[in-house]
Amino acid sequence: MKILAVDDDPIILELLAHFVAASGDHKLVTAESGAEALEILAQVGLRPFDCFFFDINMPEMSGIELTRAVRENARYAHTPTLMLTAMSDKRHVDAAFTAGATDYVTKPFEMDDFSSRLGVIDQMVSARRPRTKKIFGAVPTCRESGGPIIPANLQLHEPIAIHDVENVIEFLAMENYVAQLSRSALFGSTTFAFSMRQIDVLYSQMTSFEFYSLVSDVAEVISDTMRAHQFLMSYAGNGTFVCVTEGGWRPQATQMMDAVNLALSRTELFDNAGLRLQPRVSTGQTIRLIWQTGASVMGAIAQAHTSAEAACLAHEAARNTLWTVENTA
Amino acid sequence: MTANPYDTLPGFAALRTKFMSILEERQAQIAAHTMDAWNAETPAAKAASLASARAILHKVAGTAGTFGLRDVGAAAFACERMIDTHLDDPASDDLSCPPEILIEIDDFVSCCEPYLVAA
Repeated sequence: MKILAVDDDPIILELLAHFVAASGDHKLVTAESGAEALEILAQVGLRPFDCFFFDINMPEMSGIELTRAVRENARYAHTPTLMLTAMSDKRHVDAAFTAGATDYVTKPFEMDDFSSRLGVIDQMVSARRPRTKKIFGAVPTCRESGGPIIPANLQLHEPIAIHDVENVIEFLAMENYVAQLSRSALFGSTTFAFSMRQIDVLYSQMTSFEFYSLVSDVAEVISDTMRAHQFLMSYAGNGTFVCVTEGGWRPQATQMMDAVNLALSRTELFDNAGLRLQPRVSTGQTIRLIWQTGASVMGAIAQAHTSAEAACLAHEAARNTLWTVENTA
Repeated sequence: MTANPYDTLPGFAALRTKFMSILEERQAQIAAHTMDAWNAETPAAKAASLASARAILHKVAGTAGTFGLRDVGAAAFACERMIDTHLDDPASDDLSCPPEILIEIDDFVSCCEPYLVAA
């Protein structure tokens, strides 16, 4: 991978050079400030970077501001970004993930932990590479110039990275985010999910671009509906958005579902043929994250995900059998 | 000095020697900024000196552990937190540099000493 590391402490950059060299066949470019990093990224003709390491606490431009600036560049809208920082408080963790960070490593970091996280990113980059080649080799499927790059063969079950919607982060970032949350932070947190009804039908009728646009629009409606609350949300694939709420807010799932569906009914969404789309969502269980740790937090999120999808199926089944039951009686 | 798991990493020994040299410089800079804060005549000058000390402490806190100096990193982090709390406190506007910060910084400086002597 080609990696750009930004830290105002030269000794950290040297340390990273050693760790990166020991972790595999990577090329590391370094910068001591956000401004220098943006200059490097603006250079024309350079092979693009596959991954970023940003320190948070830097003078003039923080790593969080740098992440936001980098995410505005369409080429780097989805590039894995590791925050390497001594700032371990929740305020900084939240700000980093909201800005678009993929992972968060607290200094002083250990070689084993660093290598394992770099390995995960390397796999992610390798998995994306063939798709990227296809995208650039085929007809571009960008929304518009500067818009997101959308895979031509977007899979129904695949998580989609949505960066333009407030409080929405990538699914991998969500996994890393919950891993960062301390026991005390989890005390007031809850997870639940929204699942789009008849997602398989919608998916089968749409191009990848239309499907991506629909998912993004629904994400925006959900995010707007929950604007008054503290939460992070991620599109986990198969029409399902998983949410982690904070600050003690325990949502009433049915009320949230109704509020989102009302907002969706008031939103005019159309496909490329001009036909109006009327997506609706279902919610499943709300699960408190208190006393959960590590893998069990992701287990709780998976349970919320599954229950929302089950609620969709139950809704469809009820809709299909409603009149049959009455006729039988 | 604490055993370091990266001693076998190519070039790491030289990097740690460099870190020890930088630590000595940073220890002196932190002490100097803290004394400046103590001696400064205006709250703004005190705050500026403390902020300078804090910025260097933050760097030490982020690196010392990786080089095997966990106690130094923890001591630097404790000083950083104390300065942050002081600078964020609205009541500290007209306050000086509290002696508690000096004591904490003194602990940090003392914590560095055996490593620097051994280096």
